[in-house]
Amino acid sequence: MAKGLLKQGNAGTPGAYRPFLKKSFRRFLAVVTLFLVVATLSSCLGRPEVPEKYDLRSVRLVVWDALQVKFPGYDDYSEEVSRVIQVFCRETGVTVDLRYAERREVLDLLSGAGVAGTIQKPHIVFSGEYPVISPELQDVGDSVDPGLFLDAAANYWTRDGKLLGIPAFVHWTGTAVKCPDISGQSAEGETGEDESRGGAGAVPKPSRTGYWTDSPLFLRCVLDAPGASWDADSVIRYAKWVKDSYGPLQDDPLSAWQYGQVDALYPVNPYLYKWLKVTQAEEVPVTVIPPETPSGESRFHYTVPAYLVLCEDGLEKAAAVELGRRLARSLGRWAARTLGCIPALVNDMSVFNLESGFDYDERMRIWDSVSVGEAAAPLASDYLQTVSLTGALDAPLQSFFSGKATIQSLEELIYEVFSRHTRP
Amino acid sequence: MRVPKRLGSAAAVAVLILFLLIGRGAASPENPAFVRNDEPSEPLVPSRIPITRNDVYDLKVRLTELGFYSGPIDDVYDEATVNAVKAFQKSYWLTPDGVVEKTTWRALGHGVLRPTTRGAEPLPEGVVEIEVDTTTLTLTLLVDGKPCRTYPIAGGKWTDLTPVGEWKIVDKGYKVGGPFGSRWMALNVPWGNYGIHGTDRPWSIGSYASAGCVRMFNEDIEELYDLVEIGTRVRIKGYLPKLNWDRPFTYGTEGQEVVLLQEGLRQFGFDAGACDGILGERTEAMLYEMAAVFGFGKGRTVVRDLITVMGIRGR
Repeated sequence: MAKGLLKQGNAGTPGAYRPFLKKSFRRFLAVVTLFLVVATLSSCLGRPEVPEKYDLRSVRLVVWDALQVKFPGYDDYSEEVSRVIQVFCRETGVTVDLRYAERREVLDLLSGAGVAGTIQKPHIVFSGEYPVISPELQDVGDSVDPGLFLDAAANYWTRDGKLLGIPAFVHWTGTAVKCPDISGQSAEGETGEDESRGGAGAVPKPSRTGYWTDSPLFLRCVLDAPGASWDADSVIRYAKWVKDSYGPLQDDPLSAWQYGQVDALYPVNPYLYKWLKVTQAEEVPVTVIPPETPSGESRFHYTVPAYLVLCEDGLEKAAAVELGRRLARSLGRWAARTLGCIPALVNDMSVFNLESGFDYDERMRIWDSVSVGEAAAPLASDYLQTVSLTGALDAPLQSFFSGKATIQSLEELIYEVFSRHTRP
Repeated sequence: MRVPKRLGSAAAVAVLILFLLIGRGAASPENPAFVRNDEPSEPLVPSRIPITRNDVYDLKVRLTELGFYSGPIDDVYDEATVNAVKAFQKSYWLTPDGVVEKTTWRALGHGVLRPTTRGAEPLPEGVVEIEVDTTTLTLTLLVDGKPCRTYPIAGGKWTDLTPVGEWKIVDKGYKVGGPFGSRWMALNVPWGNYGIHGTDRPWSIGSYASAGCVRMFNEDIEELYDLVEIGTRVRIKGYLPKLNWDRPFTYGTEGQEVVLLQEGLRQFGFDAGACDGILGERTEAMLYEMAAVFGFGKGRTVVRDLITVMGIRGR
């Protein structure tokens, strides 16, 4: 048929042959097709200098990170932060102004108290070990896959389906215990009970525990637990339980630990635990167990420090998320290696398993609490309320634990504190 | 008689200028404002014995070295010391009156040899700093962190140890004389007047003899004086006095303990700036930062817990 049409056309019979497309239009189509092919090929072969979606070279980011402890014999983590930022800047063209903010400045920022003087507000900020949620936090779930993180870490920062932080690591709090015989035999002076606390591994029950009432973690370990609440009755019940279980308040728990007057310390976070490990004589190993509670449950209290994005602008946000992702991964690995924390990224669990310095039982004890934990970052306003309560409760609790106040007077004082701190 | 108003104003201005000049003179390079009470330059007079003064220690040390005295070495100018001074003065053809003044101090220093180990090469370009080590009794001049000159010094006695910390030269003076020798440079130690200076007791160099200042041979301080400027950092390390960790530590607290807190903060990654012995805004902020990281409270125990972690509690 086509051949016939062609013949007819060639015959030059007017009206008998209409070409399928005009010649000029066919040329146009060929040029367009060629252009598309070249464009497609160049985009496939060429390596972009910046991330695929955006050109971030005009972006300037203000980053607030936090100082980390430098333990003797370990690298200075700030050098690692500089390296991560340097690589990021080189690869993306973004300019970064790094500032090490104090943790209390970060809390002020997130609680709406603002920033001091001429200090520039950050686009991205490290939350610190006791994080809070602020209305300014941006959802990063569209750029960061929550599935990459441990459920506990992702859930900690998820509100109304939004991922409000890029998790770095799981920061636990527990009880440090000296284990002269970690094989499961009871400690000297014990009754022979062989208790396993926390679900994995046998650790002798400590006979004497030193504790701090003025530690911000003393009340949080119990009152922040799922199902618990910050009310007067809970505090009173907890205070009675602590005095019965741990005995009277040691004037100087850390010194008592060093001089062998106590064989356990509570509450202990990874930083303090690391210090206890590196300063403890090798012949007396130290381990960490989940603290017991008045309810009989025995779990590590945990939080999930993260990098938080505060800018809404598309390009700035894209850059901030990318940098936050890198900083969170780097900090997570550092925390696993140096402190024995669980990194938030599932793929980095091997760092915890191989380099944390914990044996299998210890890792499982921590993992048991985190894997079933339902902890979530508190709202800044709620957190500040509990900080205020903690400060007001310290004096009554110390009086009670040191034997200066009876349980009756403690109850009165605690009810009074709560009546003064009642939320409007 | 009425004084013209304009003349009265001029007189007032003149008086003001005169006061300012006198005021300047009080701290002029020839009259150091940092002179310590226990490093006096007044003569020791036998009619006033017993006199207890810091410089008597140096006197007794030298008289003992020279064989004129064999009693206890302390700060008390007593009869035995007066007799020793008289014997010394007699042997040096001075009036044997037991009065220890400029001439006698100078005579006591005769025969003291200053080591000639210094390099004569010019200093390279760079940031100049001073490091004093009271354990080796040396002062080292650093340029960009590299040692370029080392001088022998005398440090503070065990009862008046030279303050350990990171200081700055805040003033300089020349033609001082007396126990300060030919030059002095004041340090910004907050709890006392300390400095680096020359001496009229050169035999004390290489010992712990001063009231806390860094003493040098006059020739050495003259050379150093020309090499450093006001603002030069001076890091002093060495022996520490007995520390009181039970004292309260609040904003504005000063002392050797604060220097150690600042060093401890730096060692653990919470740099509070120069270890200048003042618990200022930055030091306070870093103490709270470190306390927050370790999970300590803000209560009465926080500094106690931190100094335990820093490992400085028993010092």
